[in-house]
Amino acid sequence: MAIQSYTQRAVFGTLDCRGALLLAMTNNTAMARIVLSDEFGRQFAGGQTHFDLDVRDVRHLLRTLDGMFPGIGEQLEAGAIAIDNEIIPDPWLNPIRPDSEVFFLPAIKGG
Amino acid sequence: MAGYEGKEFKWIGTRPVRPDGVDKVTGRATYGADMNLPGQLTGRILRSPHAHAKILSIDTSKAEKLAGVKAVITGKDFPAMHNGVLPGDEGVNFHYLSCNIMAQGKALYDGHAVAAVAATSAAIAEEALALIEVKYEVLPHVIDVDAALKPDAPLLHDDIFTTGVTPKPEKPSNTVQRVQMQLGDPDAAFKDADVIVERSFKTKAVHQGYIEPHAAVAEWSEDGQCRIWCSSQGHFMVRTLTARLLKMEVAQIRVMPAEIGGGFGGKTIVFIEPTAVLLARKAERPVRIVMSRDEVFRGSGPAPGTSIDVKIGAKKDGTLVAATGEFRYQAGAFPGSPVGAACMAAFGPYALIHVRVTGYEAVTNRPLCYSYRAPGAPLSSFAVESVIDEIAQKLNMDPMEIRIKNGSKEGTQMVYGPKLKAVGNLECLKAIQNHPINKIPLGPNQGRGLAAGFWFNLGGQSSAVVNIAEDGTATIMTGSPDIGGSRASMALMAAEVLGIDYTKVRPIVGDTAAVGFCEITHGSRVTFATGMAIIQAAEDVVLQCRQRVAKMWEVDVDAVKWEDGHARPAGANAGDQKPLSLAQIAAKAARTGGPLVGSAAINAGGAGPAFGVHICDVEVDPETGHVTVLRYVAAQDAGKAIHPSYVEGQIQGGVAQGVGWALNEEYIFGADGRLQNSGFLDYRIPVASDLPMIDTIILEVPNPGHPFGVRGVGEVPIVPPLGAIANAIARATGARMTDLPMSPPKILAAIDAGK
Repeated sequence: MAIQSYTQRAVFGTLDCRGALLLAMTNNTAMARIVLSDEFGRQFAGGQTHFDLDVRDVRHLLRTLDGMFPGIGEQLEAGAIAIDNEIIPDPWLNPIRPDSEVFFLPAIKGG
Repeated sequence: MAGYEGKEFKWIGTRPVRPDGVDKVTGRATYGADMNLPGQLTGRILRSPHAHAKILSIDTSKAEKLAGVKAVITGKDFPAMHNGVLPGDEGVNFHYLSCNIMAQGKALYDGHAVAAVAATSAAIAEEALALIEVKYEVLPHVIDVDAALKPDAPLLHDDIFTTGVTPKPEKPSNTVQRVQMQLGDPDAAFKDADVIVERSFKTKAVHQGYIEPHAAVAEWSEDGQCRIWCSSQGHFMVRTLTARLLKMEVAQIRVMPAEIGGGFGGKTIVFIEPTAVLLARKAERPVRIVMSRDEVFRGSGPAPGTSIDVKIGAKKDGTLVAATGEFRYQAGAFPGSPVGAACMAAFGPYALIHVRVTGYEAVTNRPLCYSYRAPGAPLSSFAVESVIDEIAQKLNMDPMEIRIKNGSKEGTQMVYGPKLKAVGNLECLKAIQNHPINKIPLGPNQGRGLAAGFWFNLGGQSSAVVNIAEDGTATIMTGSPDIGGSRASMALMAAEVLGIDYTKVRPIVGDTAAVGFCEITHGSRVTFATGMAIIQAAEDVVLQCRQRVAKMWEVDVDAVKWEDGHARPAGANAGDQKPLSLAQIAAKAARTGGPLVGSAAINAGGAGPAFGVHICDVEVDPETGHVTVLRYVAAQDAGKAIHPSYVEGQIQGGVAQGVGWALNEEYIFGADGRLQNSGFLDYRIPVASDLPMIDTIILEVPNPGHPFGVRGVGEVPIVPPLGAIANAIARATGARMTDLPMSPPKILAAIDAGK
């Protein structure tokens, strides 16, 4: 399974997004549930807001989503992210597990 | 990191004397305006008298020729900035920030800075300002958020195209963004409601009301190094933003933190520091700028005014079945309102399956709106709590019971998606329910009001250093300005970990060259995040001590344990050794490896959200509409109160500000768009005689994300008061107030309308 996964990643190379989706589809691996806000879904993803993706961490997730919907990555980076019910400060290398749930949120300022 | 769950604390939870108290009460404490350098000049800022105007020209020649004037700058002296938010900008549009600090092409509000001078005296600086000739083309202005959202409103910027809508607009507008979050299907679920209440609310902009105006001293040296002394909620933020705005290297700037006389969010951004630096560079002398009170009101960052619609449906038994809210927030002259957080926090205290929140942000010809304690949440909460109260009235149900029945708890999914972990909402509700205030009978024209509130609390980057002196005393240093007692809390946490007396720990706030990066003091993050850094730095010292003693005893480090400030044998494998105190170990530090210094630099995650529940009794004078707050009780989940007196102080302070926001405070603009009440005489904040003793109840449901269970406490207390006071007035008068502030003329009009 691991070798097959590596080969499939290598075949798709930099097409991380397609690799993440196809890998999940062919191997039936558990996938993280990614939830966009309604406006991001409308603006970038044709209205779709929920995705199941096989991603390693936040950086991989942003790249994957940006590959699927060009331009969304920069917009998402400006906001906040909650992984498994916890709002993460400056998310980038934070791991995303196969059973993780990730929400993209507006940025929060304190006072 | 060591786990402290179940541990009995020696220092955590005690109430020692604050380390900054003596300096503050004797006048020794140095604030931003107290710094004086040899050769220092006085800086003054020329501000637009128009709410909206093109700047056709600025002629500074006469001012420059005035004897004693050493530098004059305008917007042209600021480097051009990219107009947009780039990755790594932390959400800041530096073009807008630069334009707010000094107008470039357009004055966008009454009080907008258009030029600045540095002179040898304040009188000469003022005279120089009067000699600057600015030609304006006055434009139509828009102040109100609903008016600004209309398509035919005067346009502030031609580069704002609303985000969050499809299709993407082709024309610019004042509408910056639309946000929306939803769970379930509230439109369908409303059909199941036995009672529905729908109300609209309006609120005015208010100021944070800090007593200390913005002040900064900047000094520039011939080798291009710059030093800034200022009070702020983050001197690292001052360094970062000044460096970016002036295209300097970050390390060229060193910022020394002064004591701060209040911030509450209003000092989490720069307003005058880059101006002081530019003047100092041009004049080749230090420059001090201190805002007047008028400038603070007109030229800093108040909290926004809003327009809100809330609709909630419930069954006869009080179960909330559906809720929607539309929150329209003004941003001031540039984008950046807290409408996103407002939407997320509005229904926070309620476990709702079907809920939708929609937010709009509009730029208006007012000062840039900025953070004020739980930014966005007090106003959205005011609207929601008012409607919840009205539903309770219609169902003839106890307002406490409806909140307990529908209260958020562990596992509740919030409208923005995540589920809550362990939280103290129900505990706060029960604490208020059991408080003796409920037994006090109410007299004529008196009413009792209840409200709940929620805030996320933040983590983020913090650094800390713990230095152990040769005698075992400790100096602990962080880069978090102390705006609410954090130095005491840091010392308590360090004392607890090190196992030494609190009086042997000296906390200081280091400047930007002395300690690692710390994010701004905001979001109720410091006791949580910087505290976590202190704990880790102190644990680093403990580990080093164990390692040194292991060498001394010629055993493995695992054979040495740390207990009550002493290294002790962990078992028989350590041999028969006498415990060694921190002082004894420190005395031998040079011979066992060098100074004992612990450090930590973290990006703290795991901040626990918090809830507060407030109840108050008011009396309304039916002749004048004046409201007297008779009694006030606030319960809040602090996770773990490191220094309970400070937690109580934060709660009381938040309540006091909330009372002012509810009853009196507002920005009043004339028809010309100019601010009419830019001083404390006409901008009425509560004073001691306006308030009863505010009784506080601290609940402790530990936050699993912090070693001591800490939750931030500084912001939640300002969220419930607006709703609690409004609900008390409604119960006292029968009139539901939907327009803040609930000042006497408005209450009188509402009472008379009801007759």
